[in-house]
Amino acid sequence: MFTQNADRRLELLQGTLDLLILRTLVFGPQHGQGIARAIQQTSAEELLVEHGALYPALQRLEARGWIAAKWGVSANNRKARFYTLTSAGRKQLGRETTKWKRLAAAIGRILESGEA
Amino acid sequence: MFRGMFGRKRKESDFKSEIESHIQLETERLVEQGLSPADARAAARRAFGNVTKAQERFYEAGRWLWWDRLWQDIRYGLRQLRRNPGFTIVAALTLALGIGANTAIFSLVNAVLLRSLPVRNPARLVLFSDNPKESLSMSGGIPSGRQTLFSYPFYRYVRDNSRLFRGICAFQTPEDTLTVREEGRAGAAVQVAQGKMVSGDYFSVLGVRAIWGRALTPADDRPEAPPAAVISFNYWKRRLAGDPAIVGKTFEIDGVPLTIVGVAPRGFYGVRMTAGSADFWMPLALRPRMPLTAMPQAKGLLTDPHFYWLNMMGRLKPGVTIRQARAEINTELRRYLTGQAGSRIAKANRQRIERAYVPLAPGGRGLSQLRYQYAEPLRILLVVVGLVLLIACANVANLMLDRATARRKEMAMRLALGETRTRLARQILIECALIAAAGAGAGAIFAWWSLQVLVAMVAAKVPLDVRPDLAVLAFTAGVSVLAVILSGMAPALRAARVDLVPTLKAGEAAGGGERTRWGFGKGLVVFQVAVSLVLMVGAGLLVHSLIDLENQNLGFDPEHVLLVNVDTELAGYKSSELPGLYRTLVNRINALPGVRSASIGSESPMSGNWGGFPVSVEGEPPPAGGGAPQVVVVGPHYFGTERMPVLAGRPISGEDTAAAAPVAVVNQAFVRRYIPVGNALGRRVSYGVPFTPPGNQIVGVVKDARFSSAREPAGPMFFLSVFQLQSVMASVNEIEVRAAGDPASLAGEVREAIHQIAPDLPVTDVTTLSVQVNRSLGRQRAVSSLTGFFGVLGLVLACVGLYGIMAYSVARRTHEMGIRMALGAENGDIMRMVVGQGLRLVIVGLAVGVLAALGVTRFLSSLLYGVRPTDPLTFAVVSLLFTTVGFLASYLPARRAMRVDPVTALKHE
Repeated sequence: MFTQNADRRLELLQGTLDLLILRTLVFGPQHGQGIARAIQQTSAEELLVEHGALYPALQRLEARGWIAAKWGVSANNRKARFYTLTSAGRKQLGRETTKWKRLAAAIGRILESGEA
Repeated sequence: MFRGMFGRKRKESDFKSEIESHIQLETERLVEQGLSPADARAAARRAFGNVTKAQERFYEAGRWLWWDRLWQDIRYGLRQLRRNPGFTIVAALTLALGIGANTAIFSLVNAVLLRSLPVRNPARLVLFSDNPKESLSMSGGIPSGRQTLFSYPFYRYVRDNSRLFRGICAFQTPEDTLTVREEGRAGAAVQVAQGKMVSGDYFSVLGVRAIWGRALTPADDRPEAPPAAVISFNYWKRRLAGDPAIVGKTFEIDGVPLTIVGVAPRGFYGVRMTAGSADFWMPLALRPRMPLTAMPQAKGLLTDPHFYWLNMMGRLKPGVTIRQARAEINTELRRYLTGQAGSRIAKANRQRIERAYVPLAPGGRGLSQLRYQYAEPLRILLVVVGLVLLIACANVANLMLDRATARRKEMAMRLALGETRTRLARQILIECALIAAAGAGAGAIFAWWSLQVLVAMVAAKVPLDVRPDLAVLAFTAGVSVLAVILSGMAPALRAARVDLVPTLKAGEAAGGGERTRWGFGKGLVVFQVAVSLVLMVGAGLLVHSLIDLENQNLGFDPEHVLLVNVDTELAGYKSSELPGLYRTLVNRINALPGVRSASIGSESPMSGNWGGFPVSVEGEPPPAGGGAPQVVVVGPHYFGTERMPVLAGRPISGEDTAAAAPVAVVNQAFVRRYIPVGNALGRRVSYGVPFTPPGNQIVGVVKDARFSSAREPAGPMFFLSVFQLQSVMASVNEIEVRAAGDPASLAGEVREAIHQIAPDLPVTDVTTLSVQVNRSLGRQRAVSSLTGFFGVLGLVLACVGLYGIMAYSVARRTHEMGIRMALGAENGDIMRMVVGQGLRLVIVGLAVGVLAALGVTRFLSSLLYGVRPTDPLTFAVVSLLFTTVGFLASYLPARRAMRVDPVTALKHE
């Protein structure tokens, strides 16, 4: 169970949570808990997302206009607030993804050169 | 996408239920995976982390927090201000004076200088003149250079040939006084109204529609058209009780029957900004039919190209700039003048044509005598009240600094408890804004009250609408914000710079900030003294000018003269009856006890009227530059009654009748201009150019008298005998009576005498010559007294500032004074020390102020009279005044310092 091996998982780097949320919403509207689950599952349980930290992030993204929110009903008939990616959010996702990939590649190169 | 920024903010409860739903969903998922409901819920909560923290973070990210804190600070500020009512009231009143003065003067500026005509798209209107003055008359002579008055043929030429204008209209300024009688109403009384002659496209160019009936059209402006007129809303409402059947009614106007075709909209006063102008608008083509014109050549008004009597205004086509229009009109003007001059043009004439130009200017604000007169004084006053605001803000800043010093401990405590420095600074600014808000409220009341006084000073006779509009509200708001920034910025920054540890340790009396507070306060006082010195020097120069203007020799004696205006035209006298009437009237009044002499004339000095036309002297070439002398029609004893000395020859007498040879009396300026060499007596002068016999023989020369303005030296004047004139020119309406004592006390008897001789002759106005002269100085008096008032206000505020800082300094140094006295310092030493300190500030301020004043007083030049902008006497007197007042302001705190008891002072620590 993920609650037991939480200590082994990676903590999120500053600022990456926004990117992950945007990425998750590419597949369609999702509520907060669903987003948290999706991030954990797609990262093969490698990433630790404190669920409480998710909401201020959602709040922030909504304020910037990158995601939009609406109350709806979940698959198991629960009331939940669903988030959708806006077109501005989609563009932001593109930008952030490129940036992240470049950053990761650059850091990777530096680390590899050190190993050699 | 800006929902997050501008949309409704999410409620906290909404956020809470979202978290609730998250935990619910997570719990259910864990139950599905096999956990017991209680474990699942606990696990879900664990995974979520701290719920309260998430909620707090949500709250802090929102704008609610910002508002909440602002509201907190405002409430705290209000409590602070309530706790120090003395400080609050003084600061608010000081700002009220500053803001109120600015609002009042700006309201005037707005009403007089800024407002546009109530017509469609006023910005596209262009006036064929750069002078908003209205009192242009039918004169002009040979056009030379700058042209602002036009002949009817030129108007038609430009209207038909210009391609950059949607339309060009012409109109006569000023209005004519008309007699009006409603036709078909038996026994209807004759009324007096103002009429304006306008071209047929006047209303369409201005873009104004009639609210009732129709406006005038070019079809009305043809000689064969049925006489039509548009009536003003005011006249229709006031004099005709809003008669619903007005359109189609016929009025006899100056004897000519006119049909009313429409009513102009409310608030439309033609090309003027104020009421009291035209009641009737009539087409120009009617002009030659109206008998009222004073000019003998009136028949040629519509055909004579040398008759300059029209103002012009045009509406530009879309996209056309005023610069393009100016180029076009001036090309057309020269083309027109060349065409006028014919095939053979003299060299001088060609040069004249080259020089001719029309100074086109934006016309959306219409014509306004007030704007012409007050444009510059108002700009100066706006600067003056701006300076008053600066002084007021400096005072409030000083007070705030004192308070900030007293509250250092509070600030340090808040800082220690984790408050940010920004918020401390904001707290001070908020308190300042609260004071400014109170000040703005009180200032608005102050402005409203003082505006009544101001309007009475500036525009006694013209109804001026100074009700606050958006522009005034925006200005007041802007000034208030400026006041907050100016008076709150320094104290706010200081509050933010509080040194935590020393302040908390040392208590109230010490600390590193003290030095800067003293230094900054000194700077403020120096600034205040300098600015108020500039104000006082300006006020001193203006008051000096006013006194000079009031006491100068005007060339006539304004004391003891009663002026009685009658209206022979209204009473229906024929011109043949007038000489008899005048003789009887003057003889009868002369016989009254207490009357030295009496006479009649077309106008008296400083009446504000000006009539004239070009003249030629036999054997003299027309003087360069054209122009026309002022023509005054007078009866016997006129010069004696006004006390205008006759220098050569004789005055106009009772023998100068229609039977005798026509005569004229001229003034020295006339001789200088028209007869530069030789004896003027015996020369002949005729109307118009060139000389046409027989002309009037000059029989006397009078000393120059200032007839039009106390500021300007006398212009050329030409006096004619009332008994030698025919038609309307013989209709003279002012009776001048020189009394032995108080002229006003004669008014009743003179009225009575007039009534006995001519019961139908209405007396329209009774005043005295000295009142009339005084009235002509109204603008000067208004500007001088206002600047003087604001100067004194500035001085008082600066003194309060100086007193404040000296009192503060003494209080701060009580301990030091105690030591000094304990060590043997005498009262005199303490006194010298404190007063010396205060006077040093004043003297530095004076030096700065004198330099600044030397730089700026030249902007007053146009309002000064008999005194140079750098008048040493004014500078010296004002400096002395400041030194004296500065001495007093530091003497009072010094006395307190002397009373310090060394023992108490030392114990106090």
